[in-house]
Amino acid sequence: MNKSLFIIEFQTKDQQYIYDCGSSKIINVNNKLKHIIKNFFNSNSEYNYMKEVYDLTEKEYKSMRNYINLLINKYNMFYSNNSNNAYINSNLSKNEIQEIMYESPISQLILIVTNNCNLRCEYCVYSDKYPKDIGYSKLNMDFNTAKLAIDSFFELNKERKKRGLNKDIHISFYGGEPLLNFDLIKKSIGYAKRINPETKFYITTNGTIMNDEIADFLANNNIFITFSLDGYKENHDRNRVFVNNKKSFDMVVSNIKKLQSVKKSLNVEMPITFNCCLDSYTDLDKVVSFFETYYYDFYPFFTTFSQIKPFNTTYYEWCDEQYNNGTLSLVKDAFQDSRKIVKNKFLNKDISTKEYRQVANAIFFNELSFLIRNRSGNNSVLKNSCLPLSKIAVSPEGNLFLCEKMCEKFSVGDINNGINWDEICDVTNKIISFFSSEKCTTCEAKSMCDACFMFLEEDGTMSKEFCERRVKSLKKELEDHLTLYEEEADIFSILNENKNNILSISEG
Amino acid sequence: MKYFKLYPTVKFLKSKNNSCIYDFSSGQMIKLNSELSEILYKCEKNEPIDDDIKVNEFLSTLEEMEIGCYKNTISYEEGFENTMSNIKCKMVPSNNFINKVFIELGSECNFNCIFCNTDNKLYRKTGCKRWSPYESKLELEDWSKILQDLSYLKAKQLCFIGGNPLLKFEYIKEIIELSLKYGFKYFLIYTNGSSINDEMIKFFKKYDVALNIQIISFNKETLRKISDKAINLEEIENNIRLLNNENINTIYELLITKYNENEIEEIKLILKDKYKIDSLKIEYIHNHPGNSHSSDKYVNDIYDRCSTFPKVTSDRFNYLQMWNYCLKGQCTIKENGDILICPMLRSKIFGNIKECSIQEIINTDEYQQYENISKNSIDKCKDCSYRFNCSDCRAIEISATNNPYGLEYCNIGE
Repeated sequence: MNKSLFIIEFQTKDQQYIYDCGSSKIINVNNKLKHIIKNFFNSNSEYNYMKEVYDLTEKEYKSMRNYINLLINKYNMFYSNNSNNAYINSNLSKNEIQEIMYESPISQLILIVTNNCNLRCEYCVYSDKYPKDIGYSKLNMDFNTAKLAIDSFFELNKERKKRGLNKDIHISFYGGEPLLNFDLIKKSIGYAKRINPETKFYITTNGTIMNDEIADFLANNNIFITFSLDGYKENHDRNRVFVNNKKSFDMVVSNIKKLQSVKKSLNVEMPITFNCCLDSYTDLDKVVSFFETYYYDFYPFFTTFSQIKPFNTTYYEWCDEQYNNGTLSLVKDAFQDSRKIVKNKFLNKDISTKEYRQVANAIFFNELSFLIRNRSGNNSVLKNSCLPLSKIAVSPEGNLFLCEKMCEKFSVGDINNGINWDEICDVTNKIISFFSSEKCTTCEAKSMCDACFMFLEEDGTMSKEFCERRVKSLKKELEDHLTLYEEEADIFSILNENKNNILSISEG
Repeated sequence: MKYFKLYPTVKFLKSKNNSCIYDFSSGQMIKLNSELSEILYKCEKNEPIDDDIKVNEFLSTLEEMEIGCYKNTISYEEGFENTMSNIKCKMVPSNNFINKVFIELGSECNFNCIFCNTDNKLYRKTGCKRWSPYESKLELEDWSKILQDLSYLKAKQLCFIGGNPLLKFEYIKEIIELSLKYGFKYFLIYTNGSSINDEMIKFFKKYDVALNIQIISFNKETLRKISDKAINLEEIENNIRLLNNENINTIYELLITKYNENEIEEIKLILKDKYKIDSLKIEYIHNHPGNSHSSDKYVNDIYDRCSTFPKVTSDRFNYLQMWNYCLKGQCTIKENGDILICPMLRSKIFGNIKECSIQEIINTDEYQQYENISKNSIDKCKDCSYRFNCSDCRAIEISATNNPYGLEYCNIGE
């Protein structure tokens, strides 16, 4: 047995905890328990020593010792790094990877219908603030490419259905700004519906292009629309600008209202989603209040909040520069401070409206993921990453990628020649060997890590920035979670109040 | 101020009808009366402990049992097991799968037991039962496609049930041999102890086929009363010996009816002394207004759930929050191609394998509804704290209550 400790000690205002890195179990401790845990295998945890230092009775000592003994010996906690070694040094074969892929419970095709965009958002991965990624171009996908991609996607789904796939299959239109290639979207949806009427369609748009024809089409075809809208005007407009630097907020809000009123007139109840990007200068309370104000203009909707990708970018430096030279009136650490306000309002019905809480809901949705996290220490071979080809992103030229967010890293085939199994095996085995590497299996964050193909470097290592950030933020995250539970916040029932979130949707 | 907290290795469940502590480290389920439950509930809510002898006696007992301890301050403890597996199951998608496949080979039997009605009414759990006759329609080439489809769904186990499926041994043989190439590994045949020959024994040994044999009596007179078609006791006893000698994996199941209710101890003794069979599954013909064959003497046992609780495990605890213990991942194929979820649950035919694939059938909302009859959704169970360590037979309960979520045979809460 490796006798080195594999734990994170953390504390909230009044409590001390130990997080077991091998399993992600958490226990409440005091100084005595902590002492026993740390000295379990040496004489400093014997009664005589403990009595002198902590003045405790033999009965108390015994009970504590037995408890820790149970956790160490029965639950393999604190000292044991139960890394899943099964796949170490063993590359998966093509057949094994194919089977993993066919067994994916999610099936999504993402057509990147254009690399063109009418906006020049400051944090866009196509912008020059992401020097490693590809830039904008006028490149549009043609219908033949889309058709071939849809055909092979449906073929793949036949295999998945055989293996018990029970979720709807999704085709998403992504860009650039996908509605710049609206004709292709229209044709593709018509084509896919003729083959499989059950297919669900998604479009992620910046909301600047919404003529009557588009609004009617989106409403009539029950398409899930995600609008990129960063909340209140100043927050949205400081980043989301047109090519000519004109701000986009007013146009986007008016277009959303337009679509929702067309849907209302047609009795279409499909909710829309907002993808709201945040950085450290965003005032979260103002964001939530914004959606609260527009609640009935936008209804039905739900909001997802995502932090602007901090990797391989100069965006945050640019923000700091804006702050320092006063170009934009930003408040430093606005996010951290406002999050506390939102949390308080979210948990306290007396100081917030139902609408406010329903919007704030999404911020706390990850609490649920934390509550139901796997605490057994047995992670699957791909950990929390998407299974390869559970999503297939197709570039405008017809190249296949594992994720729409990967900006053409790791091409895994093209629509004319199909999936390149050598490439898939290579990239899958790269991530598996990283997950089985010493760096990953001895990492404190390994049981609560969301590393995936997106952060995988071409040499098979995980982005250094990603790993460092993950480890660094873990302790703070644990403190935040446990603080919330100590307050006896019944997160689940508050989350359940919102009828437009994943829980109620799946219940319905 | 003094407080008391349970360790994270245990889970305290307080329900409307009762309360208990699940101790996952020892496997014990500790039942609490309402008074003790209230004390513990307050402790878990971080209320300070009253200076009361009874309270402290109880909490000290829990401390001695090493499932909790006194604290000097308020504390929060996150249990190792969560009670939100049903949410997890919604948030983390997973494919449909099949573990266990029942293949029903007709409805004929060489016995004619008086308690074994041939209609679709049900008075017993899974086991020997004749049904109304029907025509067989599945050919061997159909089985090839069916078994392949089942293997895509990860099925590994085939259970043959009847009637007496051994009357169609040739057919069983062909299906098992065919199934090997699709990765099936576990085979079980439900039968009545008769009609076993050397060829069968050889086959069972070769493919590690297990038998579930129903015992009704070792008394010739009783057997004569039970079945007007002769039951040859010598043959059954010889078969038991043979199965023993050849080390065939056999589960013996004793069916209690009003006809053998006074022989139960004697039957157990014979099995133990004469055949060295210690472990015996007990089944009953269940009491029901439409049925006069059940044993009055054992009626309380039919309703008794507490004495049959197994050891607490975290796997079962989580599974029962999400799914039906038996029905999830199970399907039954009748020889005419009809698909049932359970061989004993006749009220619902989900489709016919000649008309649609097994994948399509198990993905229907109706099929999923049955698979998902978790303990949280059964009317009486949701108010019972023992529910995550308890299983019930949906077939017999639905038969008795006419309600997919009904429960008759349980005396907890009364």
